[in-house]
Amino acid sequence: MECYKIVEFLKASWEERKQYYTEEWDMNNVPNFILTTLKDREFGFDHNGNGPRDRYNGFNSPDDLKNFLQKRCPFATYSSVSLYENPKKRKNWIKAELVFDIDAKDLPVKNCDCKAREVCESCLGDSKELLMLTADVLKGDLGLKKINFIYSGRGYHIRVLDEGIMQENSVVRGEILDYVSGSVLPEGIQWKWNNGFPLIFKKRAIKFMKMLSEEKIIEIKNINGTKASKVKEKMGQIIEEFENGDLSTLKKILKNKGTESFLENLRIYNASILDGKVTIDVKRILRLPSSLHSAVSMKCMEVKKIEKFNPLKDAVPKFVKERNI
Amino acid sequence: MNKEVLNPFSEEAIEIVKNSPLVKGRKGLSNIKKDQVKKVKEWIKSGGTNTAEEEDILFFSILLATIALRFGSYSKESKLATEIIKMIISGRVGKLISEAHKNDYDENKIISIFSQFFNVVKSNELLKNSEDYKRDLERASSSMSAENRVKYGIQLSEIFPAISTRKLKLNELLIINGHAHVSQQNLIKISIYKLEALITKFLDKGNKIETENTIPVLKPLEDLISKWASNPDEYLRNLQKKMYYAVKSGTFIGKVIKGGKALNPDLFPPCIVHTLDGVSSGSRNYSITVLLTSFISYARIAPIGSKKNSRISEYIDDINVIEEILSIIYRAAGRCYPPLLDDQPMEKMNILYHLGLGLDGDARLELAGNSNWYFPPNCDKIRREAPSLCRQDKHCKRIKNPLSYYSTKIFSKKKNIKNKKL
Repeated sequence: MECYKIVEFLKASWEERKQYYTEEWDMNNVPNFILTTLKDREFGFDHNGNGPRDRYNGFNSPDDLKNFLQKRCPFATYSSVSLYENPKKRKNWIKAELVFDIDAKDLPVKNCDCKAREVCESCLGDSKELLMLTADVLKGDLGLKKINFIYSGRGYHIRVLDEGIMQENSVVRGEILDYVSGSVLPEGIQWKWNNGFPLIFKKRAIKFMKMLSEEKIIEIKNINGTKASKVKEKMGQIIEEFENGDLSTLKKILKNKGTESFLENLRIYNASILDGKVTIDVKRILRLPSSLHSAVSMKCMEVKKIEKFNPLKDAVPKFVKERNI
Repeated sequence: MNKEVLNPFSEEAIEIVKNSPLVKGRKGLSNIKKDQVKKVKEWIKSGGTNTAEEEDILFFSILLATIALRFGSYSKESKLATEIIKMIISGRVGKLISEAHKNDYDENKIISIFSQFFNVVKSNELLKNSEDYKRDLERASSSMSAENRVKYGIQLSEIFPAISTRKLKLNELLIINGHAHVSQQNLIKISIYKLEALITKFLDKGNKIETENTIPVLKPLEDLISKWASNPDEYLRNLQKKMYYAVKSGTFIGKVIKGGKALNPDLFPPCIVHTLDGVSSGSRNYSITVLLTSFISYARIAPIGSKKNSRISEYIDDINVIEEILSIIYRAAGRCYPPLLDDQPMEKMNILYHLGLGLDGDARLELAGNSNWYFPPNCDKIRREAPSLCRQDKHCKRIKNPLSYYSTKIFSKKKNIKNKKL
């Protein structure tokens, strides 16, 4: 498969950052939900590529932010998902968005020849698909409405601003995370439900089952080469049964122990789709949409029409296009 | 007809409290003063309250306001009061439910019982349009006893307090379109945890109020409590007795001679505040078992002037204090991600070991001395072991151990109060 890797992009130089923030950056690209609460958020900056060391910043107006960005041209810019009465001291927490982070470089199973921590068009496509599955659950099951998509530069963020959820603590956020990602095995009769949690588990697991290579199956505990190739051969049938909560073919090949390990592996894949640390942290800072991801020279941006979005076309800054000429 | 009070924080109940002499002309319950309690007592005696329902609501309010002001939300007093209120209300809910079951099982009756807590709708009505969802509903209920059949829909956000305690799992429920569909059994659970969350929220708020000169006395409440103890329900009576004697003997007002010192969480150092909020895997064991266990126990039992190699039993003779300490530690462990005691139940024994109670796995004072009662580690050690915990503030720069942070703050607070008086 053709594999156009993002890591092949170069780091953005100081001049390129300067060009980006003076010529291309536009206040209108900062999402409205951030602009309207700008002075309640903490801002963090990475000035030299060593991580966001410069924290506890705050801006009183969009113009202050603009001046700062155009003068300092930070390597990376972050703002908090949380709102504070005193953001510069991170004091008096008011509430925080519910956020989910899908990092294309950390997908548990890959369809391409990317190694761990590498990213290509195919990984980005898979991430987008998982992103939309997640959003479906947030809308359909949990009944949430204010759902925003952000392309982070190497993956996606979902930022939820429904009032009812923003007050909740880490424990509740952790449980929601487990629910929307399908990180728990359905139990007994649940396998027969057509909706709700079991469906979430199955949908994601099936996506991974389709992507599993024979080599990847052999890596699973209690499964040897012969069994692995049989599973791979019968995968179509296994998936069809699996959709209806039927594990009979799988059990026939793998016996009880192997089936258990196989399901446990699917569960772990599901659990690794989203970066849980981000979701449960109610004081997290995330890349500011509109800012530059300088390590890969891509834009971090709000995505209004997720279906049509193609990061390799829509999130490339001008200076990169000029590089290639 | 009088309605049985199930939720002393319902809108109706708050309205009743607002209109009583308790808070009339004041900002809120948190400003309650000693003479105010007396006034309310007289008011109740003189027949000021119209109904038993009103009297009941006022009782809850005075009790909680008093505890919030005097002891704060981390105290054993607030734990006891919360437990008792939860038991009383569960008892009432249980009674009402069994009455509703006497005749034909009527879902509307069940729904009206819980309406003091939240809006409940029949699942069948919510899912009218989808046979597919209804089939799931039937599957979720098949082979279940009546009280476990999934029949009632409530707003998803209403179950978050129960989810917060980890006693209920999102993935085990049928969740559709922003509603959780639950059984009668789960409705009880969910409403009681909501009640607990409301109580905690109230106590936390009260905790921030300056308590000087506004400390009310629990004495006037004794009559009310003893009146309550005549409730015919046996197990409730026992609980109320417990509280009654606690007030009589003084343990409830924290006047035990060898009872240590009530905690003041406002003076905790940043690392402890952070640990109490729960930490994520990697530094869980160290933060909870070593740091929090030693800090909370010394801060509660002997914040100032403790000797090296001493035993807990030299400072206290009340096992409740140990229970209070353990409940704080277990709660913080539960807030870890993943919850520490869920995947490492052995840590419970380890915590007791660090309290000096040896390896018996029991929290009994006679065991004190079977192991070392660990002293809180110094700051530099904490920074090495769990770097993410250390977030220095101004006061941190002057101390080398989290316990001295706490004790010096207590000391300077006392001094400030004295100076003001002079």
